[in-house]
Amino acid sequence: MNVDAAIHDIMNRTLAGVSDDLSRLICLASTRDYNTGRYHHEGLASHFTEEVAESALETCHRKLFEQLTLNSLEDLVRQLESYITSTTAPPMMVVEAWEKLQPYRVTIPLECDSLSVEVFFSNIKCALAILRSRRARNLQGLQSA
Amino acid sequence: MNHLLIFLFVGLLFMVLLLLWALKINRTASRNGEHGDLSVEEFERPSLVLADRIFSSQDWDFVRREASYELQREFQRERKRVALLWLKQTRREAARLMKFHRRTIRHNIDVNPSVEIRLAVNYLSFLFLCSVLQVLIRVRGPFRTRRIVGRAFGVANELWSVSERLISGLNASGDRGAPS
Repeated sequence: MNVDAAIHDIMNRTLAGVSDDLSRLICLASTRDYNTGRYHHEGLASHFTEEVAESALETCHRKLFEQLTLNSLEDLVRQLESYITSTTAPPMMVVEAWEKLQPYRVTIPLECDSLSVEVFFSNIKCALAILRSRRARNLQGLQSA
Repeated sequence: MNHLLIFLFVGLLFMVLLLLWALKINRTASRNGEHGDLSVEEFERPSLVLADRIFSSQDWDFVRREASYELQREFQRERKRVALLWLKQTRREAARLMKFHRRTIRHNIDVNPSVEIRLAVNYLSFLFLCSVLQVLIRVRGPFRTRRIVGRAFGVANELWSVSERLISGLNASGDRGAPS
């Protein structure tokens, strides 16, 4: 029951200001310790308990990931573009860093189906390539104008 | 006297061998019991929503609208790889399910031959469709195989349902037959 309340809290308060699923996924993955795979959120842990907060974060992370895996590529491209814009760094720089360093690999939950992971990685790779080609097209348009 | 000793020795040896054999059977039975705790639900049913996503022509239409020819080819390659992975995983789960099914029914006398034959035919059809699908994905790409994916999925679903019904039926009859 407490876990449900914590999940409700995460979705309606912690992530309320985050615009789309991809940004929410990145946000939730950042509450996880890379070395141990355990989640921690100070505010949630003090409001509920450490265990409840961890369990709720893990559940939200998994559900968001499953949801995002089933999104269309077009929607993923839109979300990725919105996320890249929100970083305030030059968009092409972010696209290049994502292609080379593949930081999206750390956004997957620990407990998930290996095929969903493959679909997600593959879609992100394609979305990045599409964004890169869009930027290149826009740049060409600007130069020729 | 000597003959008596030899008889006693042979008798004793025979009893030790019988004891060892009984112990071995007991160990095997308890191992089988561990497997018996598994249920069909533990075998992952193929996910239709994920298959829909992988073989979706909606994504392909978007890429064709949006991307260059090279990017389209790259996308086709990626989707082909993922589609083949889906096929491999689905086939592997079905093979695991059938293996589990064989192990479960091996010592059961309540087996219904007609249902077993139906299950076997179902599995063979599934394997056949998978092989056809594999060739089609390689040759035509994943986006023009949706109909056959639907059929393979339907057969796989039927396979799971029949096996589920069979094993739960066998378990129920096993429970009824078990001494209280």
